[in-house]
Amino acid sequence: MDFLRHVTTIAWKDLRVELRSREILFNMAFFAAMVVILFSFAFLKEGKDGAMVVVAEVAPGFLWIAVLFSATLGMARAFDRERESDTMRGLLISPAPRAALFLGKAAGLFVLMAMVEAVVVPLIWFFFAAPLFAEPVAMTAIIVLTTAGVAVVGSVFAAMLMRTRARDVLLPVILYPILVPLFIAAIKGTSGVLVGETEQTWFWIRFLLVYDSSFVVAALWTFESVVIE
Amino acid sequence: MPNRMTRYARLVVPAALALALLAPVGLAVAAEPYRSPMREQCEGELAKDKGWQAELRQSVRPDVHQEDANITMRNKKHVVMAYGALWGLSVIFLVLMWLRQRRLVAEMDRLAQQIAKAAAE
Amino acid sequence: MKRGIYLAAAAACIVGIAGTLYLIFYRAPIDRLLLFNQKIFYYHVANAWMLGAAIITCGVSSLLYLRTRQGRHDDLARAAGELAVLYGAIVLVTGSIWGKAAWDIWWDWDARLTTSLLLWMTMVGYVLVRQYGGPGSERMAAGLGVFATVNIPLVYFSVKIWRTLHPQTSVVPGLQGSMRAAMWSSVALFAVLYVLFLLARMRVAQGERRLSELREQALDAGLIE
Repeated sequence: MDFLRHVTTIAWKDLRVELRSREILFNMAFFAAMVVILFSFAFLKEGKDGAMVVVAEVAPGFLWIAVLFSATLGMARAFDRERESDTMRGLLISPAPRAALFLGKAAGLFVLMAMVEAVVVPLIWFFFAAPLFAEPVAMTAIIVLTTAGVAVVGSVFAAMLMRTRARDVLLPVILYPILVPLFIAAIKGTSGVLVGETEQTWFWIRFLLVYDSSFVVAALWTFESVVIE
Repeated sequence: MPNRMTRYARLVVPAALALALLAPVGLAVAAEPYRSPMREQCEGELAKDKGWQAELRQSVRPDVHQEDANITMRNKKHVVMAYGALWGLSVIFLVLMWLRQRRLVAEMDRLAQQIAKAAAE
Repeated sequence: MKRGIYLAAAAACIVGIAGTLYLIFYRAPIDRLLLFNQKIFYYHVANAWMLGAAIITCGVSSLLYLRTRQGRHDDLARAAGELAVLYGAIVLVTGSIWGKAAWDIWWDWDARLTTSLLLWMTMVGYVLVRQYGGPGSERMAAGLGVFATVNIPLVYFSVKIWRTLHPQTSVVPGLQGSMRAAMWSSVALFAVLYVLFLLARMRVAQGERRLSELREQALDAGLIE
């Protein structure tokens, strides 16, 4: 129980800082919306009645690329903040165990990403007429699991790169290849929801579960030894 | 001098623009392939004369087949390419490693000299 | 003594190259389906396995490094990471040349090709971190090595299933007789080569690490400035 309390304390600390300054959230959400709109320009086609519509099959791709890109912005900033005010040391010498510290950071990022998704998902529904919530349970599961996966892996890498010179450039370079399986699963699962293939969707949800649990374990293994001063 | 330059520029720039705009048209005209006026007539005749058509086919196809078969049977080009690429990449790796080692040795010598100098002083 | 072993192994490799080439081009029959192009297969597959071996070596030694903080594990991880980039490049290049020869396209989003591409890109990221990460990058790189190894099965299965949603005839020949001999001797050859490369690269990394340690000691002692 103590452990959970530490996790929530750290996550809540991050969120409170964010809610006061609001410098990440708005930029992330705007950036994600902009990515969706830019992609729509690339995939316009003429519909049956001569009106211009956007190719609906690519909607899952837009959704997850927008989320992934904006999350990259957010995770880099979340750790930059710790570095700028040199508060990471304070966190590390606090009585909270390292694992709780890491999970708290990841949880903070998770909530931030969830807020961005609260903007992007309706946008996708609005622009592409995509019935994302045809299966609310499955879609929610996909969103939660994918967001958790990005938050966990992203937090590890952002923490690792915190003290590096070229961190802004290196973060996507090392993060995206690791996230590809997650990305495939999220996109395929979402398109399963869109075309009504329930079996496919649930397969990918199970895959997401495996992915998330593998990387939570790997992150807990490595985080401690990677972030030590 | 500058005056003259601008005068030339005034002439040269429109000329270049005109050339750039006209060049594709000219190329397109030049590239129009020759079409024999006899072609349509021949095609019509061929369609009518089934025997001629079959003969023509017979005379053309074996060569083509043989050529294709040769290419696929001993497609040396791609195999040689693949093996070449494999050893080429390995050699590049070895050369890079060798360069790195040389740099390391040079660095070691430099450090040894510096230390020797410091010790002498 | 050690030098003798290295030289013997290198000599064995040269003999091995000649031997495998003989087996591949003079003993193994021409494949009935893929014809002469199939000759690419022997070296290609051996290199693909070495790619997997290099990534796993890198991951395991990265984990050991994070646990023990002993420089030699880091040297091994570094060597294996660079070798993974080398083998990844070889696999991708020979694979796409084979694709061109067999299916007349350079690239196909085939499960294996895609997996190799993704793993290769991960390892390129690893090398980039080591190259441009600055001080302390060995720990980050170690974390990345561990993650890359955990990722291997996930990448493979996700890509495989993603692909099988669009079924396609796969061209995987069953191997018999002299083909099998050519195949396994190629694998053995590249395994020995891999170990040799790994040891050589590791020695260089070790030298670099020792040198920077010595330089620091000399700085501390005030011998150099």
